[in-house]
Formats: sequence, structure tokens, C-alpha cells
Amino acid sequence: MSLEASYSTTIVIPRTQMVTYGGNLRESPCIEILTLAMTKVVKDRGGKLDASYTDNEGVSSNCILSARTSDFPRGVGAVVESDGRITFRYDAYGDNRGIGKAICDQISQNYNVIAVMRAQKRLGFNVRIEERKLSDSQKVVTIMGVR
Amino acid sequence: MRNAVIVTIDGLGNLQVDFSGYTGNACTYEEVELRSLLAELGLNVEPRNRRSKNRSDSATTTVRSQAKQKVNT
Repeated sequence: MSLEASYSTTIVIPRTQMVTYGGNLRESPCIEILTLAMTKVVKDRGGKLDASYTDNEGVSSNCILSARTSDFPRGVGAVVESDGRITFRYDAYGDNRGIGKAICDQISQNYNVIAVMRAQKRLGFNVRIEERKLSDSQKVVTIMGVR
Repeated sequence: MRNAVIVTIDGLGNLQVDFSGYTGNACTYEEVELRSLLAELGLNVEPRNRRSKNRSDSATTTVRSQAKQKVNT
């Protein structure tokens, strides 16, 4: 028997990691993956990683990690909620092209790709990755694990 | 036969997963294992659709497509 399934995803730091790394979540495996995912976004779009994002009035808010890109310098911030969920925050005011949302989607996609590849490797699969570009900012990624 | 797990990730982060080459319920166990590892890595996945593919499924599909071809010709 074989199986086909589709899933929606959310990024949630497991409770065990929340406890273990409580005071220093930046050292946790999930934030390490998030850092890789956001690094790829700032590399692709130009920009830098930071630990705050800014609203349209210039007020800055701290967060665990943020991506300030050349096309969205106010930045998108990643915030760890009390239940471990990671949410993305940004000020959408004046963002008529939806760049903030696109950045959030790219970070999520990159995170998922890294997590799936690591999980498949742990399960003993040989892993291969293919990317298909749909537009300048959108792509579909296929990860093939064979064992 | 080799086991293959093919995961497609769209621009919104949704996963489409195809488990193939498994016998019996092995693919279900693999799915549980994969979801558990993903949760450890901070990725919670919620099923939206789930469909078993077995030989009779493939046979039905083949019969249907042959019937369709006959109608077309």
C-alpha cells in the first residue's frame, strides 16, 4: 500500500525545547533552522538579519529574529508566542505590493524545506532536492527521499 | 522494492507527500515517524487530505482510462 497526503503547517517550538532553552531560545534547534530560513531570504532579496522590526512611524519592536530586506527595510519579525508558536509580524501599512506577506511565505517555505530534508535524512533516506520557479519570488520545492 | 517519500512544498508552505513502495501498513508507520520528527524540528503538520493508494486503485484508474480512450476513439 502507498499513501498520498497533504498537510498545512505551523512552526512551533516543542515544549521540551521551550523548557531546555527557556532563557536562551536562540540556541534551540528550531531557532537555528529559522535563522537558516531567514538568512536565505535576506541573501535572495538583499538585506540583513536583525532582532527588531519597525512600523511606518519608525517605532521599533524587538523580536527573536527579523529580516530587513532591501525591498522591505522596515522588516519582518519572528516572535515566539508563549505556547511556542512562531508568528511573523510586520507593518503592512503602505505595503501595496504585499512584500511583507511574500517574505513571511518565503521564510515558512524555507523552514519547511530544511525541516523535511533533516527529517528524511534521520529516517535514513538519500535526499535530493529540486526547485521549480513559478515567478521571481515564488517557487515549488520537491524533496525526494529514497531508501 | 525501494521506499520513496516525495514531498512537494508550495509557496505557502503546504506539504504534499507521496509515500510509495511500501507493503502493508508500513507507509502509515513511516508517516507517523516523519510527522513526529518534523514536530521535533518545530514543524507541526495537520492533514488536509489523505488517500491510500493500493493496487486496486491503480487497476481501477487503468480500466477507467482505457474505457475513456475507447470512447474517444
